Amino acid sequence: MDVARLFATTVFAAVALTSLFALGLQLVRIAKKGSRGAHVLGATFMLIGFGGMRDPTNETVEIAKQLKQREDDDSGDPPDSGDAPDPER
Amino acid sequence: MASVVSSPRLARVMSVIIGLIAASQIVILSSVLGSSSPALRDMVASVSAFEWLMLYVLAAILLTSMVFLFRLRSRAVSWFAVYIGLSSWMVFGYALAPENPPYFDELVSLGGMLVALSVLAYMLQLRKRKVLT
Repeated sequence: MDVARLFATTVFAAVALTSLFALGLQLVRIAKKGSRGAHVLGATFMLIGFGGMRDPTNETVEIAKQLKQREDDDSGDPPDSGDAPDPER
Repeated sequence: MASVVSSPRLARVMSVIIGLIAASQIVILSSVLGSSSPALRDMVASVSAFEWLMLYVLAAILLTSMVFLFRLRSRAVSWFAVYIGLSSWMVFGYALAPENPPYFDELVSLGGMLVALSVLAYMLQLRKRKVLT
């Protein structure tokens, strides 16, 4: 990424974060008024807790488990090569 | 107060120009979505339904804001601020993506955002001077 594009991305991030901050301030102002709209908004936010935030297929955990299993299987001494002396001789 | 202008021509001209841009964006999006050209069909398929929806929503918000600005209503500032906020999140997501969508370029978007921020500053000034009511 060249400097100009990095600068553009930084400006986008700054404006996006500023807008998020302004939105938060506006929400606080609405909540302080205590109007019916504020109550409806708060109740809507409570509903977010009902949403499934976790991956329903559990894919990330499964991949981590597989990687751990592979690490466990690969650990220990390296396999014998043909040049190694036979311990039974 | 001498500086207060009841119907500033610049604000109206700006609202017409930007409003026409927003309207043409809606027309172009619709014509691209309804096109039977294979190249355009490929482009449509490369963009998610959510992104298409966001492009329509952004154009509609911009158009609404410009209608309010033309009528010199102070609500135009809020609508335009929402437009800038949403579009900044969208272009920030595009800028972080490993490959740009076919219609996106960081530098063009940066120019557009600087123009939009200037327009917002002008609208805030108009509201402060009680031109927008």
